[in-house]
Amino acid sequence: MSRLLKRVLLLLVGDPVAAQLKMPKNRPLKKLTERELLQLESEIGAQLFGDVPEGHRREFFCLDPKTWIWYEEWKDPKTGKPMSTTTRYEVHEKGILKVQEGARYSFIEGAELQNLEAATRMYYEQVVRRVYGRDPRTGLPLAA
Amino acid sequence: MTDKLKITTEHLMSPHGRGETLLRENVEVGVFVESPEHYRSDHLRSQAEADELKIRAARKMLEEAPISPEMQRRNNIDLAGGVALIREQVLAQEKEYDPNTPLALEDIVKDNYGLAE
Repeated sequence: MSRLLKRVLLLLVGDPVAAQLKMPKNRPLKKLTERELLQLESEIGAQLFGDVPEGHRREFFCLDPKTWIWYEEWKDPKTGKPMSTTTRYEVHEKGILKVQEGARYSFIEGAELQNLEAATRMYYEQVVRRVYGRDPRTGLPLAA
Repeated sequence: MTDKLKITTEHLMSPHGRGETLLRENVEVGVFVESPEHYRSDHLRSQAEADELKIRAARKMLEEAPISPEMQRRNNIDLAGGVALIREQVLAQEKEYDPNTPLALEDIVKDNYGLAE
């Protein structure tokens, strides 16, 4: 039996050799879903607005090129009831529209706009570099 | 005689694919060409060349036009949204390598053991 055939058989019958298979060089090591990528991004995003208060959970991420999401969750200190709020920032031609529960809409301005701008810029810089391993300026992969 | 051609935001899409639009408040961008005949002359043989000229002229006008700090901030936030496009690219690449679609056996063997025989 040829050496090649023996190896093929080993692959087919699940010999321990199969467990030593190396991934082909051009194949990513791990497949992440969009949700998992967003979670990774949000871990960075949540830290951009300072420390998260104890008992709070914060998410901040870019949902799509024109939408940013801020989600905050906590327990009411008096009742212990879980509370949460979701804010959506939409990029419109006229400006940045803030959308909250209860059909509240407003174009943000002043310090809020300034803070959001700073946060999104830091998010872009850090996520592109740390999650996707690319140069934030060019979008090209970082040199190893 | 001149014809005024209105430039839309679509014309101003970034060439490097990050998807941003460049906007100015209350600034109407116009580009003047000598005449429709000139526009179709031998100097501008293709529509692509004509579009490129329009975009370049519009960009120049935008660079010179005043912009409010608020609109600059809006543009910066728009630019940061490019991260979602990078994510889409990564997901598209991953899809090409769907592990549920295994490589042909001969490719696996070649990748891992070479083809000595």
